[in-house]
Amino acid sequence: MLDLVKEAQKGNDKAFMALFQKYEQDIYRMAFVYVKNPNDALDVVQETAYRSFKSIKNLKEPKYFKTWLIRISISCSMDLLRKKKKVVYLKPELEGNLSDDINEDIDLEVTVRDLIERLNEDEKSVIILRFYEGLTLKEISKTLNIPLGTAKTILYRALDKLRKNLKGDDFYE
Amino acid sequence: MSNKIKQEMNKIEIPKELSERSKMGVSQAKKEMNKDRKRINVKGIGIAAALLVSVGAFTLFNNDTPDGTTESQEALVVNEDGSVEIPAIQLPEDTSSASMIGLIIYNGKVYTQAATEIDPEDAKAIIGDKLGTTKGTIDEWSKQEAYDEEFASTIGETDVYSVKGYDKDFRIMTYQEQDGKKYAEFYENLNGITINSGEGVFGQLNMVSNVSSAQYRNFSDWDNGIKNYQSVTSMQALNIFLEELNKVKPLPREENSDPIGNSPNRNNEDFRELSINLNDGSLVRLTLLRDGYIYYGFMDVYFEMNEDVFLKMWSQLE
Repeated sequence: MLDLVKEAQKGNDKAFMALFQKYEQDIYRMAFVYVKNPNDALDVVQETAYRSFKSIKNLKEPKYFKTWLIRISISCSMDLLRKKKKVVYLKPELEGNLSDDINEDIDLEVTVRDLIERLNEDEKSVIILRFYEGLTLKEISKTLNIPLGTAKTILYRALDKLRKNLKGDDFYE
Repeated sequence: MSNKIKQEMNKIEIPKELSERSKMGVSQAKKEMNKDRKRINVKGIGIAAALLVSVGAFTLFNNDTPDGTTESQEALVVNEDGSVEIPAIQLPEDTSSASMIGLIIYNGKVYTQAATEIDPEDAKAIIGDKLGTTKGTIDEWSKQEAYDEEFASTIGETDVYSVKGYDKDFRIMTYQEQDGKKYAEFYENLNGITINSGEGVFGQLNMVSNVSSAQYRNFSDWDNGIKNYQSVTSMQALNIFLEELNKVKPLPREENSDPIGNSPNRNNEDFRELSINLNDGSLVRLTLLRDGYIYYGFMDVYFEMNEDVFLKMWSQLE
């Protein structure tokens, strides 16, 4: 894979496509959770392909290709959301003093719709990276460029929301 | 849980045209890659980057003009002379999905929570004129009109003052005494401006010849919020560095040109937080990367310094 990245960095589009297609389904599904419909998610994939090929020459460490690509796809999703919906993203100051053992193991009956409807964008990012991409909290904090404590707090909050959703008043949905 | 989310995500159907769309993106990029672009227009990207790097802060941007078109005014623009235009923060019409934190509207401009701190006791000494009292009128359900009001804010009701020694077009301060406790916070206007050099930002912080002490910490201490600071011993190196800061070149942050976002830079070797105590009690926090890059607060630009001067400073941080 590292060879393909190096080839792509020289401008070889076939090498780049070979790389990109390994991840395009992941990117599409992640985008879908943010933008909530197939057409926009496809736009995000196309834009991600466009931006990432244009800038792959600047990628210093080929081994980080995947997380780098994920970052770009999240950016593209956010940009699209902003353009379409004028959503703003404001982050409260987060306290990072949570313990390390966040309970992730409760067997939730989570649906895609819960992820889409219940979580805000930063919560989606952390949940997807943690559970869909299998990244550690440390890797998540690097990918999203946030302090580890903040990543923990967001994960904790997102899990809490998903749990409350089960107990809450929306069970008829 | 982990499997459940993965299973659910995998239920999202993949459209047939997916690969085709990937190819379209790549070929579009390929066509453009040979073109010289004189003017780099990083529409929206800086904003996205700002989101990703928000550390306990926020971005508040809206990419659309009222008529729905996207204009260059929303974009971070690099001019041919090297200056960077940071667009004015545009207030949203729909904030229903937003969680919000500190901002104040003053003189029609948006001031956001600053990366410089002030001890409330010291704040008392540099309180300037009272400018007004904020209204806690902006919340997730606010209409656009709420933002047009002077002193609209997301921080409830508190008094706002100018700050002695600082330009109120750049910095204002909230100050409050309640139940015997004092609260003070700086707010800064770092949008709707053009940055030609470091002076536009660092000059406003009044650091040169005004430092009482300075300390630094490495990446893992910063990352974990551990207050393990080491003192900077050479004030001479620091002062030369601070003078040089006025000359540094601004660079737009975008996801592919934002060294702080590169994982390889986020380690104890390449990353330092430099905290500078000024004589008036304010505490400026800068982030330095070994390659010569400097970040302040949550701006959409970062800065690059002349190597010689930077390395002399860096050697003080090891």
